[in-house]
Amino acid sequence: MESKNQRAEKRMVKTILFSARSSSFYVNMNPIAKFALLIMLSVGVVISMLHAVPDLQYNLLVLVLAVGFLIESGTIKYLVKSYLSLLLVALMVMMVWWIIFNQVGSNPILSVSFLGATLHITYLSLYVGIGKVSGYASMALMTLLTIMSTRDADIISALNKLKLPFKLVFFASLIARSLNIMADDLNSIKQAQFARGAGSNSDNIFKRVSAFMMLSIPLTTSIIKRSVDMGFALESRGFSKTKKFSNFIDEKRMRYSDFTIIAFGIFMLLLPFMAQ
Amino acid sequence: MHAVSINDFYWRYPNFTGIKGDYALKAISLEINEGEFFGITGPSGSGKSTLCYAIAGLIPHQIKLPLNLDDGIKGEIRVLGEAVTAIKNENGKPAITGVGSMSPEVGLVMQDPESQFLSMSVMNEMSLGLQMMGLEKSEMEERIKAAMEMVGLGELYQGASRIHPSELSGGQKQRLVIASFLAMRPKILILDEPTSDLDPKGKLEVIETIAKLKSESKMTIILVEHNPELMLKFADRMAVLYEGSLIAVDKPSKIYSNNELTKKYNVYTPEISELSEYFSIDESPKVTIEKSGFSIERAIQKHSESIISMKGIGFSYDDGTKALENIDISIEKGSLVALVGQNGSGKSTLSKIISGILAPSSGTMEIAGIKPTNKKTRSKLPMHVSYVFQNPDHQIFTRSVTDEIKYSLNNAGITGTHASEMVSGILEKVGLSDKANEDPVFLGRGQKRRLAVASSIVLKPEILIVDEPTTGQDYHMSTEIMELIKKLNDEGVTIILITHDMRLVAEYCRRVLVMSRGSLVFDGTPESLFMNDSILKLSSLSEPQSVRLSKEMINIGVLKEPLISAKEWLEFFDFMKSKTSIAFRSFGDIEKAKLKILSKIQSFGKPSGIISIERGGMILGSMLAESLNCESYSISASHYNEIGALTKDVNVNGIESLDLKPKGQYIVVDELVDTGKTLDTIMHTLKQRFPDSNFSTCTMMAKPHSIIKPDIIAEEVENTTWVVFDYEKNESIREFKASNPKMLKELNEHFSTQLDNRYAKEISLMENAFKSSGKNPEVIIYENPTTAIYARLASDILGIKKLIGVRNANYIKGYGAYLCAAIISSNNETAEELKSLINSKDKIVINIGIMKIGE
Repeated sequence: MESKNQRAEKRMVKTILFSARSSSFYVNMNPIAKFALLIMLSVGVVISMLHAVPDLQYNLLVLVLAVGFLIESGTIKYLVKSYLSLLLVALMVMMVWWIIFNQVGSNPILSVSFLGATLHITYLSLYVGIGKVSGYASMALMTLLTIMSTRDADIISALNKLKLPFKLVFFASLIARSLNIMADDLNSIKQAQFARGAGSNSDNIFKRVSAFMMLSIPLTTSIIKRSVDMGFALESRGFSKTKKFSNFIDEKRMRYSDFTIIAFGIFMLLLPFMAQ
Repeated sequence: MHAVSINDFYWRYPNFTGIKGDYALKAISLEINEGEFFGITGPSGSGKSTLCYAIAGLIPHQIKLPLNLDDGIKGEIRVLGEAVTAIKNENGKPAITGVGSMSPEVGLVMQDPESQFLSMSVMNEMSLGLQMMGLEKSEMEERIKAAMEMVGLGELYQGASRIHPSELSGGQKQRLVIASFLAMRPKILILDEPTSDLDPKGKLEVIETIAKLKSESKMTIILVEHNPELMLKFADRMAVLYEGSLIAVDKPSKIYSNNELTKKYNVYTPEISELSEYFSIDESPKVTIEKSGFSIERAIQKHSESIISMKGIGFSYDDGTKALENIDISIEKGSLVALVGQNGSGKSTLSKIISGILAPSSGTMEIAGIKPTNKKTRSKLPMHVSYVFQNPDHQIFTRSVTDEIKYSLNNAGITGTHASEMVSGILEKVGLSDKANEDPVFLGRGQKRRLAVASSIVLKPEILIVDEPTTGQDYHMSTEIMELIKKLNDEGVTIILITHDMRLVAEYCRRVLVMSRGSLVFDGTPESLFMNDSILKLSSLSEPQSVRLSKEMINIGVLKEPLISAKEWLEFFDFMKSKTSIAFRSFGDIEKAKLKILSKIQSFGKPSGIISIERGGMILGSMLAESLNCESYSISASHYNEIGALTKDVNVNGIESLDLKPKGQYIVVDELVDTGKTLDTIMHTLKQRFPDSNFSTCTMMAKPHSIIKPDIIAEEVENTTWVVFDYEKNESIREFKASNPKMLKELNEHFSTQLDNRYAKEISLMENAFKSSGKNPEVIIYENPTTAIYARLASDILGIKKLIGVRNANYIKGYGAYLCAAIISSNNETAEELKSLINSKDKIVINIGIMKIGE
């Protein structure tokens, strides 16, 4: 366990996944504003991609924004270590596929013949491919950013702000809490598996899959034990006897900066229309 | 009204298989008083937690599997007068009745704080129970603030909405859970092993909170604990559970003093219990501990080639936390090294680097001949280094004990008959052969731990890292696991033992590495660590009870080096027994010594007075005062305080009442000078108090190892000689009865054949008088010097060590009140005067002049 001083030194807060810089503007943004921005930017990107030629500038702008916020929130390093390689491979495959199956444009940069068929790569197909992929990448990164930079307590606070029933909000929080515990247990179990000479680090894909399957036994045992304990902890506070829950959840207020971000989101949403 | 009243309660857990298991609780009848601090202890699986859940109303009401009401549950549990669980006959069939969970009147704090957090901010965690109570926001805020302050988390209140519970330290987490229940203002708080998963600092924080709860609240507290020191410190009464049955309910001191009970029912006892022949449960010695030339022979760390070599190792987590900084360690092959430090100090990170689980951020290392510079070389380490994790549930990957062992073998490419033979061999070694086909998930915690060790050692690793092997285990299981680890070490396996248990470190390890804030702050032997108070403080560690006793003995000059375990203390006492011889001295010998001393005193001139040190110097002092016809005074000094507990310093009593003449010449008289610390302290005190007077020292006997050499000595005796005087017959027999049967025999022979019986008549008269009075005096007040001999004899008859010698009635002023005092005087007049001045409810007066005894 880290001490208070150590926490102060690193100035990080725990989020749903990993942790983020506590002083970050994006991390401290109201989740409602954050989700609104995510939705508006995503809709903007989708609109830009509905056209025969997607708006590359718009998509790149959103992508730059996403990367900028990832850096600003201190979550970029987790992304690099965890999802980025997977995301890049997926995007590259998507781009190759798009170029193969959407032969557009008339000035080929490169032509490849294969089994009697000729594949042309044109300026237009490359432009459209980059436009589409940058659009999807920006949406994926914005979504990851939102999840990686938002504290679970903030989400619960936002749900509460939206006047959802307490039981629903509480169970949402319980699920988030359970995921949190599960992630910690899974990490410990994976380390124990490595110590036994097995694990997902093997070069052999079958061994890796088999090792992953083996995690289910200790993880299930752990989940059952945790859920019994959590059930008892809940009941020892009188949950099933409660007739009326009073409200206490600390509601995170919307600040000017949050409204500014929403306004910016609206502007970004309207931008593709204006460009049209 | 009782806080809890349980009447003949039985409970059996239902299961999916339908096969009846044993009762988890059997015929429990127990009453816990309101406001009482009640402890529950017992070995693992004895039903302690189940009993807590039953009191909290969670069992049977929250068990969702179908119950067999015919013989699965019986009896009744009432909490605060309300039936929580009872069995009622409804239409000829048994049915469970009762209110179930008694929230908010009853709060339940469980072992693992992590599983009890239901929210993701400290504030929400605190408010949850209060929200369920339907309280107004303002009241919730007020209660939350008060509860957090009560447990010492007040400083977190302001930012509580932004702090995730998992960001807290172990101790803070458990205190947060306690606070979340305190905010609900319960009348009963149940704490189920609240410190077992915590590091020393966390334990200390929770213990301080419990102490505060005990002193500041009127709550009934039920504490389940293995730790005997906590029980002794806090519990008013405690219960011992064993295999679901209630074995005993009594005061903790009575339970832990009952060796037969604690051994039979596998109760974790204080270290002092192993030394019960020599020390009381409150750590006060039962025997006189003599200074000796004893030195303990400890195993020397074998010098062999290094198997772990690390230079400049550093490690930082992704979020920037520096877990390790510049670690240089070299561990020799075949050694057993303890790795200690509080949570977050870096010991787990270091161990994971050694076992290849984590890669260091900086530095170089060589582990078992491998230089793990990349992922590929690092993945070879598990074949040489095994890691047994703290939670055995996290390392069980299959559904049978045999498969679990095979899992390790298969990963190393060992299959077929060879693998099966290795499985049988290792199961035999860890005593799990009869469980070969069982599902590991359903093994007991100790068995799971042994299985985890078996799975780790089956590949014959060169290095074995064991993380907290005894946490939450009972005494029997802990010993079993540690003996297994010791055996492996004897076979040549290098062991790194990560632990918070300093008793284990003292008993099993010869080298300790202490980590603090990612750095190695100590590398040395356990005894040097335990004597290093600054490192202990820095790393929030505390020395074992044996060392604490040693420190006291070092302070009073009895020991030179610390004895760090009960085993070493027993060796010390065995040595003392083998070396000590008895020398007997009679009244005649004292008279001879007096004559010798008187001849030596001539050179000093006639003294102004004799100051006798009670009780030893009383007889010789009174004889000298009478012969020299000078004033007689008395003072006392002891390492024991008023209640008989050993103290670090020598306490000198009676010095304030000394009315010495200025510039007088005084002789301080004692019977035997042993270590000399008492006489030295007395002389120092006298010289400070009476700087104008001159003091000489005189003793009948002295030992060569004394730190002070008296001015007049009649006789010198060996350091290992135990001198017994005829006037201390009873107390010598009492003392040797407890500690040395061989010497007791010698003692009995002497007293039955060679006892100097010159005071036999007076002894008999006094004995009869005390018996017929039926009183039990706490102090003997005697007229000095005339009745000193009789007072000393009375002290032996009654077993009273507190004596006050008075030269006149004024002397008695300033002494405290006693319930009952024995007054020994030489004539009627003095007897009456003393009687009127002594502030005691009961008084027995013994008038020596006519040997009249009365009230």
